[in-house]
Amino acid sequence: MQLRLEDVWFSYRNPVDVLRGVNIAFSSGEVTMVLGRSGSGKTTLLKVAAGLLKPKRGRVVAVDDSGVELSDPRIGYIPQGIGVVGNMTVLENVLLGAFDRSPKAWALLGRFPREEVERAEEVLELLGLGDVVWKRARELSGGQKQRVAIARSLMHGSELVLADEFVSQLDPLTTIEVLELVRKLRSRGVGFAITTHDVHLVPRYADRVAVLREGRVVLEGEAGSIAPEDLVRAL
Amino acid sequence: MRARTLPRPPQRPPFGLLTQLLLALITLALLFRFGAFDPSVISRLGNLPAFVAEMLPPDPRPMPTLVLSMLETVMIAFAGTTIAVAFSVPLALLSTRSLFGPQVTVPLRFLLSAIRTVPAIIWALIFVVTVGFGPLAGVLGTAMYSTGYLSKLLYEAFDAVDREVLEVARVMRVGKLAEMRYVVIPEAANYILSQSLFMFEYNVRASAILGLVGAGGIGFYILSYIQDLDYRSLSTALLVLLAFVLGIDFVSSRVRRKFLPD
Repeated sequence: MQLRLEDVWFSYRNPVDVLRGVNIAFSSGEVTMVLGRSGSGKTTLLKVAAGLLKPKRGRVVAVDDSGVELSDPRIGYIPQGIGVVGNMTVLENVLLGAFDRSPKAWALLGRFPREEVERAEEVLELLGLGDVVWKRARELSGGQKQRVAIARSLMHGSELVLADEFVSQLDPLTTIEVLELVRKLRSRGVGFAITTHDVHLVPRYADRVAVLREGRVVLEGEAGSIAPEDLVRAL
Repeated sequence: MRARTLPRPPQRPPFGLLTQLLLALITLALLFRFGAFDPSVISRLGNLPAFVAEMLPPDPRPMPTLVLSMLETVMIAFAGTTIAVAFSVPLALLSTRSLFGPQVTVPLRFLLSAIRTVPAIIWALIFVVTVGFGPLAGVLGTAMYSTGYLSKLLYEAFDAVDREVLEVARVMRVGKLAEMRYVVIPEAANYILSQSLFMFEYNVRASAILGLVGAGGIGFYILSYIQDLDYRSLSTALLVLLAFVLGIDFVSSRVRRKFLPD
């Protein structure tokens, strides 16, 4: 699956365009890092890609491997604040990802099919959260919350996860742990679009990289083919 | 050196010295207007010790009746609050701007505001006329007023729920009901509990005067003692009320400590 932003323009209420003719594609099975300074439009870019904001011009389209447009692409979104529900258990947070596959009336009463619960437990086990399944999300560490957010996206069946400033608030060791996990999931076919301002993460963890400056993509390509100094210069 | 225009500082609440002086002056003017500085009023202040003396010592004889009627007051407040919570949560959800558009939220907020405008005692009077004298009128009156009040407190809390969490649910396209059930309600759960407890405590105090219009509880006796100038029994009733209110405050603070994080 590929999510394409084609000539996307966006502005909030004021007349200044936050995104100006952005062309970029995020693919499943690939980690794309979007670099940019604060205020460059990274968060807006991900929100437009996620369908939360409607572009003023241009379009966002998801296509399958043969180029056919998808009407209901499976996309996950992890905002800057991670977006887990602090008062719910880890399992409940993750099961929300299975809501649209479960019988609605039962799911609203908090009852999910047995196979979905088992799947959620497997996903949590895979992400190293097997021992905190019944903890409330607010009691978790920052790294654990990130993993809960990933688990929820996986449970949702997301082929592409859009993660905003994904590791910016984590300490260096936890950042490595979380990004190693991202790499593991990439090898299973899940794609990630991660916004960050940390250039040093690119060579080790990104397949592709794009630099956003004042709402325009000013540099884009395979991560291995662009020197970190060029990325810094483009920021 | 080039002169530079500094940006305006953010607006602060207007609590400067001048504002405080102005507020004090307005209040004094109002007190003057209402006759607080009339010499005859000041001379009548001397009645207070005599009134207090007539209330002492409290008469213990009506104690059993008063305790029972206070229990009825507490039951009225409990039933009224529970009904109000049951109605307030869905009404507040429908009034939440992050969930619904103005075509739904504006009329509902207006309706809730209209309900709040009528005091609990008038609602109780309306229900005394509708269902007759007794505690049922008190329950319905309390429920009605509390629904208007609690709904407002809750929709403000629901509006303050972290938008990012809602956005995650929206990207997964789980639908409005799931957004309410799995995002808004859990995120605001602590607030729902603390405001419901507050409403209950408030209603215990408010229900105590519902008896004035024949809606059951200790208010009926308070009114009778005032009319009969039986101030010693009145002070007993007030002590019973005080004991219950303190007891309920104690219990709810324990509940808060158990269920709500610091």
